[in-house]
Amino acid sequence: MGQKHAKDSELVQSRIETLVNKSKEAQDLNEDLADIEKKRERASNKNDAFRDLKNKISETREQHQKLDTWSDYASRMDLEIPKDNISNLESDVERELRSLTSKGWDDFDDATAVRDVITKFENHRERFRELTSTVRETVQDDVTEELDSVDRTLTLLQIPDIGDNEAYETCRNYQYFLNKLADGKPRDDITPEKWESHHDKFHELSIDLGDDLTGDAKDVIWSLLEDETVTLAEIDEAVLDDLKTFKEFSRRLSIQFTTNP
Amino acid sequence: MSTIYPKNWDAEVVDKYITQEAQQKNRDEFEKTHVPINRIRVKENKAFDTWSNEAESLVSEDIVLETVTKSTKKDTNRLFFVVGESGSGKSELCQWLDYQIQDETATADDDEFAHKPILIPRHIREPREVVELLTEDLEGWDFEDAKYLRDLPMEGIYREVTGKIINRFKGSQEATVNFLKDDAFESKVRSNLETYVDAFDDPDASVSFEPIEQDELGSLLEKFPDVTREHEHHQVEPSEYLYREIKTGATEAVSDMLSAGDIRDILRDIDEAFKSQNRRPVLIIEDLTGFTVYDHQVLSFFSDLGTAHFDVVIGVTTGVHQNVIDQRRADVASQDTIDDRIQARLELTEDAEDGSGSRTLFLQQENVHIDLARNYLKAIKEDSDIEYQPSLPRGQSEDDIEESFGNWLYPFNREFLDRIYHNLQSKNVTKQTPRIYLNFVISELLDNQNPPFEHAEKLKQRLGNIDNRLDPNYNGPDEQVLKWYGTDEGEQYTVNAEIPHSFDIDSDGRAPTIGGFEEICPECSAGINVTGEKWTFPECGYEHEDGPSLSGTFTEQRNELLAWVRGESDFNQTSNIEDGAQRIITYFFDKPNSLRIPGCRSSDAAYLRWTKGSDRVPIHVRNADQPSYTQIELTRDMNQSILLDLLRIGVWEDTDLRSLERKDNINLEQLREWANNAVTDLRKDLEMDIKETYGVTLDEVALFGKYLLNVFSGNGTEFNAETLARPVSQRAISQVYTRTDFGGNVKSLKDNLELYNGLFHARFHLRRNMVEHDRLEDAIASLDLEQLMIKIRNIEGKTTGFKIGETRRESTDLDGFLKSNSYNIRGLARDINEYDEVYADDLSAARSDLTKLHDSLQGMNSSLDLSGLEDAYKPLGRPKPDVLDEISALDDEELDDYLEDLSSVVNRARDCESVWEFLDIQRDVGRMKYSQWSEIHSALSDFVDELDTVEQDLKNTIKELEEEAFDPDKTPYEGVRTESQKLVSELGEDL
Repeated sequence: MGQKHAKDSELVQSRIETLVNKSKEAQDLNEDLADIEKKRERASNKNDAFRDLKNKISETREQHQKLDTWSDYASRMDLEIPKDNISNLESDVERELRSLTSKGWDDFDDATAVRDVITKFENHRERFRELTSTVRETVQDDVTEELDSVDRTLTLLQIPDIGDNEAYETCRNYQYFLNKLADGKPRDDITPEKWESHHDKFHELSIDLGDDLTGDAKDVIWSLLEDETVTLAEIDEAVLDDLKTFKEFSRRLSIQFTTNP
Repeated sequence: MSTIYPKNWDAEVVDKYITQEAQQKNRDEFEKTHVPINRIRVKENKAFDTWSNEAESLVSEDIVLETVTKSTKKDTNRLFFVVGESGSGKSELCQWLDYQIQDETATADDDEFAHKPILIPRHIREPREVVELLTEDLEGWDFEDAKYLRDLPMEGIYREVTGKIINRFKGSQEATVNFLKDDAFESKVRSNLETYVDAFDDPDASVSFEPIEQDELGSLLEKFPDVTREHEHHQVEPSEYLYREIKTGATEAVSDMLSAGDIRDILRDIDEAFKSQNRRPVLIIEDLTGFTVYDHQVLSFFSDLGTAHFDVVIGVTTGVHQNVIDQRRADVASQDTIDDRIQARLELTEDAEDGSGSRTLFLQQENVHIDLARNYLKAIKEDSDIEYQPSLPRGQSEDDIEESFGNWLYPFNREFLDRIYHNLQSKNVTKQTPRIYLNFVISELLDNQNPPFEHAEKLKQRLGNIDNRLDPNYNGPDEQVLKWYGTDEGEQYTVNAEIPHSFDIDSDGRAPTIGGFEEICPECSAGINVTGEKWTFPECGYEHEDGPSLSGTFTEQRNELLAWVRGESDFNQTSNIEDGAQRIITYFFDKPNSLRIPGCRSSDAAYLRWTKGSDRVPIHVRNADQPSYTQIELTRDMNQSILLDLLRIGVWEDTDLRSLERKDNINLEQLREWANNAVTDLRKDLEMDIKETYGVTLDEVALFGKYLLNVFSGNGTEFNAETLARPVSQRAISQVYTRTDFGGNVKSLKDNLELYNGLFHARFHLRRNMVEHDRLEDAIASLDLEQLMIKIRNIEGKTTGFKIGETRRESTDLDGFLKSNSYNIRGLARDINEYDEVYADDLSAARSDLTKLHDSLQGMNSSLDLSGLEDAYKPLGRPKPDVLDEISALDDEELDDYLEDLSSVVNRARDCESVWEFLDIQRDVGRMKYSQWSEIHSALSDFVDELDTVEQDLKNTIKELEEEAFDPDKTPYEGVRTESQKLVSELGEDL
């Protein structure tokens, strides 16, 4: 028994020792765990910055899309915009983006490094916004003229026997689009393609002034429609009488005369 | 075989003498055969003052004559009853009195006062004949118109009787009248009347005028309670009242029909007539039974003392007519019974000594039966007056015959007649009356062509076994002659050689007897042969005066025993020989019906007995029957001297056996051998009964029971003598099988340990600590354990009488022990057998648990350094458990013992191959867990579990910590990249 004990005791004691060793290992691991917690905090801060960066890029992108839209209107209206400025800015941004995407998560030391990039993109967005304002205002100036033209045409169309419903609808649709742009709040359904289509339809309108008017009278009306300056003195008495029979026109004409002494 | 033998008498003469009533013989014939009746017992005496034996109240016939006839002319009625069995001599005495009084009458002068007898013989039964006889000497009486009962039409009697009976009751007694008209009553009366009337056609038939027996009436009335209520106001019981009324009505009816007048008028007339003649009538009625319709009237007349001046002697047959007299009031005006009014009751018979039957007093007169036979033989031979036919054998003279047989006694001798007389019986009851005796000797034997000894053999049913001490082994041609005619001289029977010679039988006149003796001296226990009631033993001087002696019992039963041994008859009076056998057996064996092995003196041995209804040793005397249960049998082919010794020992039950042996009265050594064999055979038979009933022997039950104790108490599972012999203790048996599929109730085994152990001791122990080793080995050698278990499991059947218990008081039926759940030996066999099929699963689980524990504890000792282990709990975030302290506190020696025990159990579990071994192992497991090592086992098990837990917890902890390496979430950055690429793409379009 004694001999057996001596041999066996190695087994049970060794098991206990194994357990003690494991316990030490566990203690070491516990200490490591404290460092990891710090890293995790830093990583969390960095990730918060990445989330902000993503939002900032997203805002920049939205702003660029607005610029792109107003630029499209300007182009369709054949308006002058600062294309070089725009193009330069776009190149800067693209370069910045390529630099950003060429790095990994670890390439950013900490949140501060990320926040530097955020600042840059904030600048880019601001510049896109300024350019957007410039282009939008140019477009809206043009839109104001177009609205006057549409308004005159609609006045003419109020004269009986002049124009038809289709012409009226074309004017109203174009007017709707123009008002939206004038407000500076083009909606999703207000796109440059549609605007252009309504523009073209409006300018292609052919309005028949009937057989009751003389040729001269019709020319005066067209001049008025074309927003050309017409003075009463220049109008022949006969023509004027003729126009006076044109009930709608006379009412308009009185206005013209009232406002243009 | 039949032997023609010489006769010198005529068969017709024999008939004449033997078939006649006493009264029918003429006076000469009567006097030739009459033997004085000198032993008559007087009771209810108011007349006798002379005695032949005053102490016994005995008188002779002469004193009776003197007393009956000492009346004077003026004396009122004097009534004497002569009571006795039928054939006991009532008629003989009446006839003798008649003759003697006739002589007085004849010798008296006309003017001289004298008695005059009027005898009504037994055969006079017709009322008309009775009144004719009574009025024989009277004038003025004419019964020409009277009718004979035998001539009356049955239907007429019936109607008259039932009409008279009904008329005795008032119409208001409706229930009674309805009862009397009921079929149940009428058919009973009709049947009894038919029997009564028919009896007159048969002179030998007994006549009894009973319209309905009182018992019959009582039974009928139970079904008619209203009738009883109508008669509750009488002074006697309703049934008694009705009986009397019915009898009276019936008697009146018959009397009226017979027109024989009123017998009381006749008696009064006789009284007057005799008085005028200076004579006093002595009315002698042989048998009141024959008086039929007049019995009540006659008794009423004579018991009214003032009515007349008669001396009346009335014969009454014992039992038959006693109810007419017993307790009967003499008259309505007095509380006196008839017995109060009689002068005396003269009894001719008394109860036999053995209490069954009766004997005639006068036949106890010395030699009276010899004299009676001699008188008849002499009268017959003289009356016949013929030569011997065929003639006597050559060389034998008439004188030789007279000398050898005794005067006039041929073809009998004194011994022959003694034997006949002493054995007379009727329906197996002693009945010694002169009529039976004479009928047997004279009518049956004398009147038969075969010699009396041959014919008597054929009539032995009427005699019982003749006292016969001839050696049953003796087979000589003269055996029967010696048996009947021989004289017992102790060692031999002798007979005058002329007697066998006269029957042409070759004989030297002697044959050996069984010897021995018939009495044992109460003083010195010596065996002797004595005759008579008074004797003195010559050696010690003991005097036996009188009183009960056992020799009579012994000789009677010895005789029956010998007849049984000879094959002549059954042996019925067996209680004494059975007592003797029991006495001998219990002398040599304390407990002969014990089923403990011989020599068993173990104080632990169970009470194990065969007690069929009592503690007596069951002894059966084998006649033609078989005992209904196992007993020691006494058979007729047994050694004769043993049988006689057993009988002797049974009869002299108060005499010490050693004393009997010292005096050579018994052969104790021979009896010891017999007892040995008898008890051995009895036990063998009993054990065989058990085996045949239950399919298992007592030894097998004992072995299996002990084996169960061994297994469940930790004595081991080896089925060998050494292991089975180990003692067991109740404490060692534990029930530790609840966590297994074993369903056996070990508690019943534990509760009955003493009984199980006791049975084993009873069968295999000599002393408490001494085993009958060879027997045990032999018993085991032929047994296979599995087969034994199946035998016990299959116990069925039932036999009763075997008892088993720790003590006698606590004993129970062996049947119950074998089968009931409270003892459960069969139940355990069944449960273990069933468990045998499935125990492997439990074994596997136990093996696994034990091995794990065992392996985990390799190297365990109390000096283990557990300090480092305590640190192991820090990373686990919990304190160290108490078990670590418990382990540190363990006693090293105990720990060693436990580990050694555990190691042993583990090894056994590993090697276990049978259900028995597993049950044994499981028991040890239980012991470790719950009793002997419970604390240390619990601590170590907890310690091992704790080590496992700690190990696992540490492992888990380490793994968890290792998995905690820094692995940041990169998703937000991915979002940046995606968004950037979108923008790049849009820019690209523009650019």
